Amino acid sequence: MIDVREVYDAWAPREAFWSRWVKPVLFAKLEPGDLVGAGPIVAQDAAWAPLGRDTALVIDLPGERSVAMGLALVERGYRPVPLFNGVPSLNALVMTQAISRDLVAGAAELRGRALSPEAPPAFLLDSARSGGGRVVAPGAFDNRWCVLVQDLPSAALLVDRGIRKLILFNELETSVIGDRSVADDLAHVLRRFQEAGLPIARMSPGALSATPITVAAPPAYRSLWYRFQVLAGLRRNSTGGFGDVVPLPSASGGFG
Amino acid sequence: MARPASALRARPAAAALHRLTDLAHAELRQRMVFEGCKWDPQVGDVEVVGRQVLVLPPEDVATLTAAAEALAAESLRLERALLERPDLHALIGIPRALRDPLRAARERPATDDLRVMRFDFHPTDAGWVVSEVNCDVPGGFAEAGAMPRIVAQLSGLGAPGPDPAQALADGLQRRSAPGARVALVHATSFSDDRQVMEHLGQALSARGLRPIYAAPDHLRWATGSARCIAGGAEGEVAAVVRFFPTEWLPSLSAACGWPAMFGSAVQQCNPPGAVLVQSKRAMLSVPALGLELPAWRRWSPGAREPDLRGLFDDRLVLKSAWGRVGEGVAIRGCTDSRELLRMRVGATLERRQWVMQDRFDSAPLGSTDGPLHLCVGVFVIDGRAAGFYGRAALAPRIDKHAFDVAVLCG
Repeated sequence: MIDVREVYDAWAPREAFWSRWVKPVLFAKLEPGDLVGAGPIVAQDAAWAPLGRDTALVIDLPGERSVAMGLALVERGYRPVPLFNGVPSLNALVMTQAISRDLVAGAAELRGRALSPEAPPAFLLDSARSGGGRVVAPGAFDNRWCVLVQDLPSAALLVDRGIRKLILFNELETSVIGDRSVADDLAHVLRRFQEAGLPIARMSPGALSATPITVAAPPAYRSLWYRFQVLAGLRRNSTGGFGDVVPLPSASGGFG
Repeated sequence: MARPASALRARPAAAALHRLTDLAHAELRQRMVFEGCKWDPQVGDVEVVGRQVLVLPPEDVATLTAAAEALAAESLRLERALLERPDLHALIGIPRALRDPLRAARERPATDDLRVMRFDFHPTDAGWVVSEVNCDVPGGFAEAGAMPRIVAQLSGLGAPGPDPAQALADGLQRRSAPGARVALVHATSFSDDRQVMEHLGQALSARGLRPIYAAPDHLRWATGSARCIAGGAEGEVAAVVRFFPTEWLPSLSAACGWPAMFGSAVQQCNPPGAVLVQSKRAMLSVPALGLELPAWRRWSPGAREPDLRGLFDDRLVLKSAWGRVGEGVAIRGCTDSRELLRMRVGATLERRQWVMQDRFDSAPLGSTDGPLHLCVGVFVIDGRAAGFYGRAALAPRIDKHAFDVAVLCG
């Protein structure tokens, strides 16, 4: 049976450059019971992803499908980099069990693949990270989270490693009341990439090809108080915990 | 407070930096994830689990230990004095919503709270200088405990100092019945905060205590009790370890009754009264209190009210009263000009949310990665020094771009 550290090592092999960005929380919280009985992963079609080493991908799909797409992208030469950052818990708002199960199952698959340490990254997100509008009941464990700029490498580093463009793969739609094709938290990240000169295209299931997009500046873009504002906004809607925000990059492991 | 008498400070001895091999560093990084609950080993382009190791000679260990313990004792005196002087709470920048609860805290039954503080020291040519204390919700337990332990095993460069997570768990064990439920209160969706709680929770479990992971509004307070309503963990708790800043409490729903925690006799680590000294403006109250704080005068730069002239004086540093992790610290030459401008405007508009400190010049240590500026956070738990938390940066401001440095005792 594979053990917890082997699961982590499969997804974050030491020799692979982009492993540094793999978020450890779901791996560290794996229980022995998670390591057995992981079923097969539903295959995803990754033929849309360009071959070559100059494209980085961001996959923003519901958790298990994001994992499955990451594994499918290995065949196209991409290094899947899980960025799932929600804390598993009883009574949690965002379900993480299926993602954990598929990370275990995927580890066995990954260990059998020969992927270059220089393979370009495919960053994996769970599009349900904001809770999908679920109401936070008193006593619920609010484990919603958001992706922040510091969760990914900088545009400068991506360029330095040969990345020349980025494709976002997601399912959000453009509507007549405004462009909702990029989640707000992710827009903070992608807008910076775009401003640094990285062209961004968007792909969705069923589309024939990726379409270039312009990521609009989201609310409070580049504001020093962005994290605080998000927190304040969430609190107004929350009766439980404090999801959706990571207020301080915690090089210190916390507040001070 | 008067400028410190630099000549009285002990000069840093021969502290030295060493670099781990790539292999040892990779091992450290992985072990920190699984043994230290370090779930944020990478922040942007910065590898937070650093490759450098700081070896402190015995003289510096003794100096920092004695200084931190003296500062902790004085900080508690200052807190007690401030608690009795609500008329000074506005002066030190306490948010309006906390002032009434703090008045109630004066009536709190005597409680044997476990107190945890961390004093951040910086080496200068004139000696060690303490830039601030984090006495409300200090972080860095795994970095000060698990990290030096692992590095000592991997490198043999020195011995680890005390482990603050173990010291905290020991302190709670001494105060609690076997099997007691201890609420570890944090913002539940921040994995960065949960990792701290998880690390402490493991130390509590090892001592037979039962950690309960909860959000701050999962607790319902009464004078003699605190009850958790988190699903699956309902029931009374014997003690509360809080990793949620006191000044954030007013943003909680009123329905949870958070102000009652200020008067509750339940053990709290730290009690919310700690916010009084957490304010970086606390030192401005010392003259009005008539206190003598010789350790603070010796080790820390002087503090003063922000004024227009001071904002443009390069010999001064502008700090937010509630800034953490180097945020809200304006140092000319180290802070981005746009950020500097915003802070100056902020200090002009809301003077009581800011403070000015005399600037000190951090003396960088040579390393294979170039000169590095250091900050050594010294934990004090139950009055005793309990671990060294090292951070380093290329710039004198130790902020989110800094990385962790294992501190070993030579």
